Amino acid sequence: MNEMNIADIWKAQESKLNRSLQLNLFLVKELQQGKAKSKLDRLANFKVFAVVLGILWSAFLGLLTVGGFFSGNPFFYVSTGIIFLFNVAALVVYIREIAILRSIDYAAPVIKTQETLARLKLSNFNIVRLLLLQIPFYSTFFWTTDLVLQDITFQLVALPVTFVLALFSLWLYLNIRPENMHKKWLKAFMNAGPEYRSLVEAGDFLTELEALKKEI
Amino acid sequence: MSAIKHPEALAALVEEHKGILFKICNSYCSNEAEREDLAQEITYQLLRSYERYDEGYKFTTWMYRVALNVAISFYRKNKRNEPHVSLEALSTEPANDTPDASLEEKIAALYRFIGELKELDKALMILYLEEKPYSEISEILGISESNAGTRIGRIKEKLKQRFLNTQF
Repeated sequence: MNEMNIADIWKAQESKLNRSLQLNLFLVKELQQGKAKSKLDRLANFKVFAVVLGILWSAFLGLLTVGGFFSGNPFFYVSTGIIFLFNVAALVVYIREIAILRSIDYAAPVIKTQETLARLKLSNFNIVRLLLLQIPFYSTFFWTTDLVLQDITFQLVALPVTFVLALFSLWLYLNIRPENMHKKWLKAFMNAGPEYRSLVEAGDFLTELEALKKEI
Repeated sequence: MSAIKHPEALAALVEEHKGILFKICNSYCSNEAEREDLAQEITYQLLRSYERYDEGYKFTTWMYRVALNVAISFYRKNKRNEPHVSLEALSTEPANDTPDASLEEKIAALYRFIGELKELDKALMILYLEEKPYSEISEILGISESNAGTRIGRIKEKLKQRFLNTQF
């Protein structure tokens, strides 16, 4: 089988195309009436749903912080306030992703568009990393000045737990990166589900795209 | 949808070049239902992108960009389904209507082999088989002409080997 034959086989289908392919152009009407829906846009719609949930959760945290401020326990309102800020930061990153996803230019060169999509997928790592930094603050909201200064049991148990959580979340923040995604501990941590697989695939695809851009 | 400029004109152009859709859908999808979904998605994105279409560009270059971008995204989203193109599944005419059944087999085999390639290699091969010059391939994909040439050479070699190892 030589090169000529492959090209000939490809060309041989031409004669049948015009007779066999019925192109569904009812979409023109549907799009004009605003009825047509894109399957690729569903991802953005899912993200919008996640943003709505995120806004509700952040609003709840905001209310807790304000309420805590008036109740006078600084440990409570500083903890919920910091958790609130991390969630708002994650929301901003997520909303930015939706904006990029909605403005994807499918008419741009293939490598450029695919690179944007793969990087967008990988940016989920950043959201996870950001949210992990809030972990130690879930162990501080019930603290009081009396507990911290006078309770020996508290000092021996709660303080070290918070310290370990702080170190752990900081370590995760520094190590959850696309370049570590093939490591066993990260797979186990992220539960290696379909969502994680799609992140790994996006990372591999990005590597492939970068290789394709390099001169051989 | 008023933002779309002359959708009927686009519909006529797409109709004229529908072979591009047919070949891309067959190369990236393993079954009939997926092919229909992909054709619909590509048509949708063509219509949506048309308002930004710069007429300074060749229409087919623009169409290939949109179609390949959508096909690769669609393929990556549905990757769990194993690529398999059967003779019956190909959207050409039924085999008993054609005088050369072995040609049908070869077309199906070619699509099967293209289906086994990575998503970007599929794009390169389709453009090569469509006899696009390296300059246009480079414009569609966004890689250099020399890169396109070298990679196409490697993929052609792979395909030739697959054909040589197949009995018809």
